Amino acid sequence: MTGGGRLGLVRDEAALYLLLVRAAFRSAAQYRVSLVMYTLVEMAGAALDLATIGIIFAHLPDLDGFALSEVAFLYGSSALAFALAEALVGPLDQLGWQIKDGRMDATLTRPVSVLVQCATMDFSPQRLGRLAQPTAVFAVSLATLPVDWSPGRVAILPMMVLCGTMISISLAVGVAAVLFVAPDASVAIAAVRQGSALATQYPLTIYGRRMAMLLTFVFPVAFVNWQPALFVLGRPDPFGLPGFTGLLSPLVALASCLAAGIAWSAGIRHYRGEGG
Amino acid sequence: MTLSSDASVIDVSEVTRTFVLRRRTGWMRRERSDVHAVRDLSFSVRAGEMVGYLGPNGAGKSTTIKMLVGILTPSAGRLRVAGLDPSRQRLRLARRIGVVFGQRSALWSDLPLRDSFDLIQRIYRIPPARYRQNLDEFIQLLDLASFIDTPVRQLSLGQRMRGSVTAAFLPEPEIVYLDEPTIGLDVVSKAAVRSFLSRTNRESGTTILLTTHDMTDVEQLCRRVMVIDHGRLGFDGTLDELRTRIGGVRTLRVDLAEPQPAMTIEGARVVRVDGARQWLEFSAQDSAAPLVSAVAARYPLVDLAVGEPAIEDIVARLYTTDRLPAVPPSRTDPDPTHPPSPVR
Repeated sequence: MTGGGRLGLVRDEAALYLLLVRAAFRSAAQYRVSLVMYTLVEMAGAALDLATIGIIFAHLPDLDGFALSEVAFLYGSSALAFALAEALVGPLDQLGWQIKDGRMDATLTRPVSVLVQCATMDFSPQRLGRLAQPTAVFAVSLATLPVDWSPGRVAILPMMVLCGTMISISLAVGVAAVLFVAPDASVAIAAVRQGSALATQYPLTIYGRRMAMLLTFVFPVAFVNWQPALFVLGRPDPFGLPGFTGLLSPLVALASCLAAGIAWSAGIRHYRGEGG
Repeated sequence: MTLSSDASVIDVSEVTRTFVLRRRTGWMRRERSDVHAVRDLSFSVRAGEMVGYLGPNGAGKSTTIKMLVGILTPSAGRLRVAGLDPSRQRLRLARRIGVVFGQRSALWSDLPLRDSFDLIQRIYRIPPARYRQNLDEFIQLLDLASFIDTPVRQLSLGQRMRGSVTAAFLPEPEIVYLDEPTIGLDVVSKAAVRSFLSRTNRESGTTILLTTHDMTDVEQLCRRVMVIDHGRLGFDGTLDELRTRIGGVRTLRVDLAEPQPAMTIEGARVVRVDGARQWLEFSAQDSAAPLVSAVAARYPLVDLAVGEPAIEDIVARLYTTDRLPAVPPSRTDPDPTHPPSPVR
């Protein structure tokens, strides 16, 4: 091992991450036509997402008391965090297929952390392209929000995106760890990941109390955008949680990273090989 | 860390790996059963040895290799490779070993072969001068020049295997495991891989453990042979010893003009009948000539071939013969403190 201790290890893995991303980019460049097709399909999907919100507001003046700009703020901040997470670690539910067709065995023989390899394996330019729409929505919502921008509120914004991304990555890693023991669960894992991303695009009040509590305390995606957003918007928590809850995002982010790390190493330890 | 020639680099002691199988037995009912992929396995390999690891499919060969690499955690027992515990220190160990998993390539399939090698140089931090020297040598030995700039997905099986072997040996690992390195390969590729392995083992002292179904691999490469079946080690010694152990038989394959019931010939035993083709087993000490004339005198003979028994047959005999004593001390093992394990 080169480099000193933990920090050196992180630096080495970061260098390997970039190295493997470059290799994946060169691989993706081999399939230009499919790259263009996928990009077009994804742009259409992103447009439909926005159209849904547009349609809702064409019929209703507000959504559970949230104005269009506020919903756009919720949508943009959630979509940006989940898109950043996916840009960094990718759709980890693909892991199930890699385990089943035996590619995981080769992955485990290389002196590079499994997460870095899985995150970079199918890295394509689209992953970065997916950042465009959420970034635009987030920026527009900020410009139109009827909010008095105090320094405190402005400071929350980068924290929101950073912690949101961390929670989203933890969620992706944590649930994907299940695949090491149950490689057939790819679809279920994808549903949990995408479902939680989707759920946070709207005010949590529309789901009712029980679902909102599940998304706050079990899959803590409420801390990706909902809780800090309530703080930024100066709204009391509709479910009666204390006002400072929105500021707990960094703690929740750290805790979920830790939990995801533990789940991930446990998954690798219980890996059974492709045959099972 | 320096290793003297008689230090063992692989130490496996009473290792068991159990898989839990869950079988659906009813609408919501599931039955749970434990399958021992490897059971009480013990052996050690010294630095610089080249060992053939034989056994039928599902015998536990791949499970053993995966445990040695650190991919699978043993259910019980103790395992040390190059002084490390593979499953706990997998990443550290990965820098010191090479692995080739049969037809599943660890190369970057959409990139030219050369790019995979360049990536390996960066990942394993091979000094550039050393890397260029090794790569030039390997290109020549494995005859890679004509396809090194071709994307891996376009390579033939044999070309891809030569690429995988290069990738495994480029970082100059202390130990290399190869799982079926010659299966499905064309004659040229097989010969290239064999002579490469033999040369690297001889000149660089790389410890090599390979699984194979090809008797020629074993004959040309492995002074030591280990046989595993149903997860247990059944033999550990030289190929000659193995042949003696199973009674030293050869097979005579005869093609008759038309299908016949199993023939009765003195000094031989029919082991298999397939249409007009029959396989006879006879003692390796006997000459095939009298047997051939005896068959020809009584049956309409079209064609024949004399062969050494295939690995599957050797293994089958090894495990079906009751008269086998415990494994004798291996002649290749001069170190009395590391005797091969007895059969359990």
